[in-house]
Amino acid sequence: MPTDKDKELVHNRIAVLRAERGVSRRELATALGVHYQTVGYLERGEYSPSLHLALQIAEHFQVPVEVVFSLKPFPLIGSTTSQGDSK
Amino acid sequence: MTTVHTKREEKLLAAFQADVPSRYATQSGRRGLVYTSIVCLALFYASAVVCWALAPSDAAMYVTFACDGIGLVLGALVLGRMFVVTRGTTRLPDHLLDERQAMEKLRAHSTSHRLTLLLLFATMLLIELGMTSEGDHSPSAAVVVTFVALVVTVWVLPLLVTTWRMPDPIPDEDDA
Repeated sequence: MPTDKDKELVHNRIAVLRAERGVSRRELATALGVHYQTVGYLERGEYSPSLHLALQIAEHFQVPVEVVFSLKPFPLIGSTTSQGDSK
Repeated sequence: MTTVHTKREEKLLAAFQADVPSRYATQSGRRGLVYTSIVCLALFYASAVVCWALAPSDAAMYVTFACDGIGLVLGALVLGRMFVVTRGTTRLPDHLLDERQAMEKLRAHSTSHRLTLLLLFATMLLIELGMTSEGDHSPSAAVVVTFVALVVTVWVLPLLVTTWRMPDPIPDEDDA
């Protein structure tokens, strides 16, 4: 049974995108105009961003916002490929 | 979006960007700071109670100076650390806070507001009880000392709430 907190949880791929682009937390925070701890809390799922910040993050990584944020957990890397191969 | 307007704001922001000392990176460490500041506040209330009971007298004066003095010095040290631990969330002007910090500040002020209301009612009740048992005995020193205790409490409550609620800081990537 999902709790109220689970219902409000917004999953994100900020850490993956950051690692992929080689951007540090501080660099991303400076680009977004937020405290670097805020980026950390976002990555850890302890803070859900406003729509404005979510769009800013998507724009920074030049991807659609749904690539970065989702209401459902993102599939693990490789899990979709292996499912596709088995079909 | 944080926008620095003056040199002073730049200095403040730089001071609050520093890493939180490792001792306060845990919940127990931060709550230890809150407990210490509650002890400091209790000293102010202790002096108020002594004043209501003994003022005007030398004993009341010495106890008030001792309690408030210790509370002030120890409290200033603890508050300084709490400002750093909370990264100035309650200290910095709104335009220097990001949206998470601004929301945290609002939450802290809203919780403090509720606590302040309770505190005011509790104080009024205690004073009323004290006055009915002691007739119309209400020394002016006691009123002033009680007022000081209340002002200090109202001033520090948002900081206490923020420190209490704060999640563990994220270690910097180089330290992780």
